[in-house]
Amino acid sequence: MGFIDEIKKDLVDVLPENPCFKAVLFGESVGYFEFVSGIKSYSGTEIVVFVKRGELKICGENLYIKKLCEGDLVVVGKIKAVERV
Amino acid sequence: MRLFSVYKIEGLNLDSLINTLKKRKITLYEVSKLTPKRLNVKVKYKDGKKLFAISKELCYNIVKIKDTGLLYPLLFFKRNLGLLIGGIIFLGLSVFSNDFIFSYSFSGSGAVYSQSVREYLENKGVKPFTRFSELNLKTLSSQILIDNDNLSFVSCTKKGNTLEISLTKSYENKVTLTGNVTEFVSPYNGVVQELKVYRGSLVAKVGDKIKKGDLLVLGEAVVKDTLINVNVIAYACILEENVFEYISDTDKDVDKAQAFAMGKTEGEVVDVKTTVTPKNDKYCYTVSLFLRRTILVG
Repeated sequence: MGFIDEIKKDLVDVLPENPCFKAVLFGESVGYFEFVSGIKSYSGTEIVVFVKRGELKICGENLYIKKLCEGDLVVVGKIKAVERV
Repeated sequence: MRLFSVYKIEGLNLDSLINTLKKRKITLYEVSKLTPKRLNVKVKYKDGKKLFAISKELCYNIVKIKDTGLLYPLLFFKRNLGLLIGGIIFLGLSVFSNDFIFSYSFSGSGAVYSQSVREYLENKGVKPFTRFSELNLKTLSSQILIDNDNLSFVSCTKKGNTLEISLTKSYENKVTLTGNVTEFVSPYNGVVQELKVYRGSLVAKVGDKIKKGDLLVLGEAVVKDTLINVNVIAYACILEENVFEYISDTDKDVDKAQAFAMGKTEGEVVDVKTTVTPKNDKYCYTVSLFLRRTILVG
């Protein structure tokens, strides 16, 4: 996480203060998303979520929601793509 | 440490329900859509009532599948308090009642002294309904052995509620080492089971079949390449076979034949073999008694 803090320091002018979403992928099997306001659609191959100013589409196989609370979403499965819609 | 409940929810527009639950601050775990109209969801146990209320309100069918989590065993026992209390009482009674001596059992060649050992135990305060936890069985075994000259070995063990006492009668006279034995010859016919030499040279070995008078240990030793005469100190254990014949009118008197043979000899019997052959109008029992003989010389 020290590396991320360094990048944040260098990009402080570029990084938005209130991002519309944050996505962290751990390999292709776990995805952690912040600032998710709701679920638009949910299936084993595609999950579409509402974020600030738009939607986020997560495509893959055997996807399922591991945890959903407040603004946090954890998706588990074979994540092939994350697309801003 | 958490407790969760898993529910099955059926209805239309399940995505909208997920959003509603999230808005109502219910954390959802492991949401899996089995079919477009069926969803399995895991929530915290305390959110279960809320989930039920919301789902019913929105006309979804909701069924609880199971409770799960590290705290589930506590919940189970809370729901089945009678079972828990019964289990504790049962365990307590078993442990408690298993601790009492209800009877003695004697075995071994020293069992002939069971009555005197029983009286000895009672004088020491070891009676029926004494607790095993108040006794040290090893110390008890040693005490019985020390205070009873007729016994050469004592072992006390617990088997359920029975105090099992194994006694070995002391057959051999006490030996005084004189230090002037020049050779060790066997006083018995049989097979050498054990042979330990503390001073001298081995002539026989374990497993050898020997006769009375055979040399077992010679009073010689090699010291710095020189052969010298020494006084023998050695210990041997010999399995002696004694054969007896018993005649009877029937072929069902095996016990009598063996008792007859044992009455004719003294020593620790380790094995008995009996064969029956018809002889004229009667039956001849050939009883082979295998006795363990221990000898210490020196």
